[in-house]
Amino acid sequence: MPSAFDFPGGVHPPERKQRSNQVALIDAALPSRVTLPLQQHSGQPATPCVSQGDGVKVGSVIAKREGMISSNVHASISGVVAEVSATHISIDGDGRDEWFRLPPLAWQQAEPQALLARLNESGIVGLGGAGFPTHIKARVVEQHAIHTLVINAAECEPYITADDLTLRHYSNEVLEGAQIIARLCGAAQIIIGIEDNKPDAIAALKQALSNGQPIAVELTVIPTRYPSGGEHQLIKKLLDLNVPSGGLPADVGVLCHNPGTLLAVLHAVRDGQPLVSRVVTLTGEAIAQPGNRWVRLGTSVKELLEQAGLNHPGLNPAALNQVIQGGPMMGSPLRTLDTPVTKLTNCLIAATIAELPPGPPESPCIRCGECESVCPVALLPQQLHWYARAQDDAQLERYHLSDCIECGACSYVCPSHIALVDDYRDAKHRLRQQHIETTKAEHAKHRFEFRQARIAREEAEKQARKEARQAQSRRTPSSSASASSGETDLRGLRIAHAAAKASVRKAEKNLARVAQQDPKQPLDDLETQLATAKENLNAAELQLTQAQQQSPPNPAPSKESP
Amino acid sequence: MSDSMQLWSILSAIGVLTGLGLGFGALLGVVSERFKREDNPLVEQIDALLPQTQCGQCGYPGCRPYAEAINQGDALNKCPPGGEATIHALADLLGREPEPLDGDAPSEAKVAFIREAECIGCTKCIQACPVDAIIGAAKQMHTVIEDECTGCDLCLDPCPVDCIDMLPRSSPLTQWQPVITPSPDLIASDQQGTPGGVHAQRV
Amino acid sequence: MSMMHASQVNDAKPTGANVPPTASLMRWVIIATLPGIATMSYFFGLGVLSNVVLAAAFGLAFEAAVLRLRRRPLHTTLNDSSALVTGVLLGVSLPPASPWWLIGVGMIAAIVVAKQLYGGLGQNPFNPAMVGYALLLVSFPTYMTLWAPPQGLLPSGLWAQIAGTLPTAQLDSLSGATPLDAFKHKGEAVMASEFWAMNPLPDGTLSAWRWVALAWLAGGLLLVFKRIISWHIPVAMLGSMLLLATLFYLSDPSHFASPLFHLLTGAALFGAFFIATDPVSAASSRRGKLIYGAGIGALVIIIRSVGGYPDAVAFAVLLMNLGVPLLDMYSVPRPTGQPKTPPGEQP
Repeated sequence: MPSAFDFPGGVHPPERKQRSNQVALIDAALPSRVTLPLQQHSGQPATPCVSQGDGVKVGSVIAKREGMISSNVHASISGVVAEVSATHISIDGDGRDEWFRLPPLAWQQAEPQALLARLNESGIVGLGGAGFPTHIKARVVEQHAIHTLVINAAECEPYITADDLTLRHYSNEVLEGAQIIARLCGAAQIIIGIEDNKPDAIAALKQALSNGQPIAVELTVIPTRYPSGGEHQLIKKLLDLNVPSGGLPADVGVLCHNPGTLLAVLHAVRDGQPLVSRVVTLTGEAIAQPGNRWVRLGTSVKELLEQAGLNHPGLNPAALNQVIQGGPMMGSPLRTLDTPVTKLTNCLIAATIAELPPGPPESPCIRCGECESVCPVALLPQQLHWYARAQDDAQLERYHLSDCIECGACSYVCPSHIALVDDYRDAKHRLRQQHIETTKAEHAKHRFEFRQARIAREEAEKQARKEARQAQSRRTPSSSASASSGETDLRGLRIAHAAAKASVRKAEKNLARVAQQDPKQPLDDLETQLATAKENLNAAELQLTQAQQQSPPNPAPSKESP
Repeated sequence: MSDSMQLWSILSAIGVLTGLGLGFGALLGVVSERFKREDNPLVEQIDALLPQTQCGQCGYPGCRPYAEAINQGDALNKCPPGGEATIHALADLLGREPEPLDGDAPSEAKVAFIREAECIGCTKCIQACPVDAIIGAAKQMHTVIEDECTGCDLCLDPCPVDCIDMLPRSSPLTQWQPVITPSPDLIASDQQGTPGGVHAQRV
Repeated sequence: MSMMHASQVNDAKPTGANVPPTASLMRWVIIATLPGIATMSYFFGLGVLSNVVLAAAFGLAFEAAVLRLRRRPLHTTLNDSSALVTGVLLGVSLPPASPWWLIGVGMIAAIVVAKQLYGGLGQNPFNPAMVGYALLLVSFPTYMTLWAPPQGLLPSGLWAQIAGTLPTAQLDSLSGATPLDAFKHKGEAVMASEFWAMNPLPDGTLSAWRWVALAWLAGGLLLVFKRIISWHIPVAMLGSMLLLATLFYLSDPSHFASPLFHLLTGAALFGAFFIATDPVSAASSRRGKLIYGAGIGALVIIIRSVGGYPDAVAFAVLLMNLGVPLLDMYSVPRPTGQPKTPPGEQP
């Protein structure tokens, strides 16, 4: 049993899962209007492909993926497109709930290309929170050999029970979805990582596993500890593999998927049903009927919570203080409830002030080291805190700020109530911004150099033409006066020519090396550099030939001069 | 006897010192060859700190020439697009005193925008652009490639019909970041003057 | 994935974190000093108690004054009790019934100079109480080396304390000395065995010091048990003291004191649990803490055995405080997923 490995740190916040895991998973009411943001995934926003007034069915594509990392968006209710804006598309429902489904695929027989195309068309993204397009994730096999598919059912954040309920109701389907992905990626085994606070889901999985699976599935129950659901932490825990810093699980041959995503994969492949709804946990003390719901994407958060009995009179004195989207550790409070449920909304906590009170004001860091002992990545949060506040970028890098997963464990234990993660996010953003600026400057520099080289080449060409004209009209070499200086010029030009040639070769080599090492990296700048070097070479060549024509091959030009 | 002893000791001293000198000289030579750096560090490093707008406001035709001039001892404060940050970075690198900026730093990043209806297609701006960010041809309308434009202003003057505006650079949503305001009334505000307080210097 | 208002989320973390807030940490430290203070008062008189009360009062007063000058809010800072802790720690370090002005000078050095001038709580590179103690030790050696012999609960010299003079009641050079002091000044010619045979200390002195040390140990274990301090620094410090003292003792038992004598007299246990563990001025990583603690232990034994002072916890702590930035720099742990590179050489 590969379960004895451990990641450092971790905390045990109160779980508060009972509030939402007591009732069965049900469908939320069909919304009469949905608002679908064009960006519900990481990467580029999708491009609308419908216009106002178009009739759509459930599952019609309304926005197409744009660029490499992006995802389609589908209508989640049938009706008429009411608005297409730069950020979202609204649909007014007709209440008929008519579906448009793709033809079912028998995944056991289907070609991998067909499966990938289906995932792409169906707009499936990771439903755990990051929203990475699943078809891109499935294509890592092109670069990495995958040996294990990990089903991340840890669900370590307090409050959230969406995966728990999904597994209880759809354990067979989730496992079948896992088989599809595992087959697609050539994984030899599937490991389910689940925290021991979900006995019902574990029982359901055991029941489902008794049916036998084409690719071996192992169920590993791990003790409850936040943040064991972090991708890197779970892989460490289950397989004792360290995902390298800045790398992906695929670098160690592992792929990680959330149960909800696998269920959506199955629905897309088996039923031809694109991603138009998801399971959302509705919880918190300010709603009367907490629980998990199948919610159509684009449903207004306010409507959803009101259906669940927001500020119900029976809930005295539980008045809503704030709604948090996601979990209490990593989620974000909603500024307004007039916001839609997206592919990334796994949980909505309607919290009262007593439930999640505002923290006391922060006091100075006393370097107690408690944050260090809970950091799941073994960073030194307090040093990062000082350096982030001091904007000392070199030190932030030295202390590996970029490895921070922003899990919030350090903020949680801080006796001085310092919002450490805020500092880190701030600093990360600043570094990212700086990086963008530097790349831009670098790019401009190469463009400038290229232009200089081009102008020099043009100048040389002009000069050559002029000389040629002169030579033709006079038919006599004009270099008599500067014969000896022409000699040294020639040597200098030869050297310049050789240097230019060498720099072209160097630029070519550089380009080839980078292109081989990291095919994803943009090569524009290196190509510009190569072009610059070529321009320089052209100019040097022109000058050289010109000089050679002027001074005849005879090493003693003085003799020939009249 | 004693004379020869004296001579011997003098000779041996000379020998030893010569040997040491040669030995260390060889060592230095070997080390300098072994750990040689390919690039010319200083001008490259200075150039890397400059904002590469190629605007020429420093009086040199581009950032690289200014970098070379700084290396020759020119003032650090001639780069308005870089602002105070660049001056401080340069001062840090070169161990010089930072001087106040000569000129006004731009308040925000800008890009050139051609009002295309008014453009007469004279190509003058194309020739002025240091980074080839304007496309167009003679008697054809020109336009600016926003991603390539450094906001250097050099295209403004040549334009005979004044159809070029400098507009704020748009930034994509993916680079958007909320402003996190620290809550007031903190002891941590001690650190506002010197960010990071003592610990920044401690480690 | 929007990142807006992350601060509110952090504010909204579920309550019941397993680490109490700063003020409560400080209060636990004070609670843990109670057994030590009680035992000391029992053996050395109420002068110990009055020291502590005076020093704590001075601490709060100076902190308030400086905060006022720096225009910082008073309530939050005074509430964190850190000045109180400094006062208590300096108070128990001073000879019983020290003159009031002595305590005042020490607390000025501790609170105003060592703490607030460096930026207040969390910013001081040196342990404030030990800065105060070291300053007093080098400035007023007469006052600082005179420990009244154990004499029960009698209020010894309280009047002298208020008058600001030396407690003149019982004065001959040895009776006012601590065991470490006496051992240090026994003279080169005197063998250790002869020294003990001379019975140089008043009856009960040695056992009194042992009881006090055990009381500090009890308080310290409480802190470790409550997870207020981590075990690394005390264990490393006491371990290295034991090791080095044993080495010295084995090399020449007739000159050097036994390891047990080193551990159970003077400020060894008090220092290990209450002084060296001050998180602000100690190393931060676990490896750094171990080295830091071991360094203090080694310095204590070296100064006690071959240096000029009978006890050396204050100097050892201050010296190691100096080394903390270096320790922090070279003891950066390797985060998960980072390649194995030698510490301190990361780009």
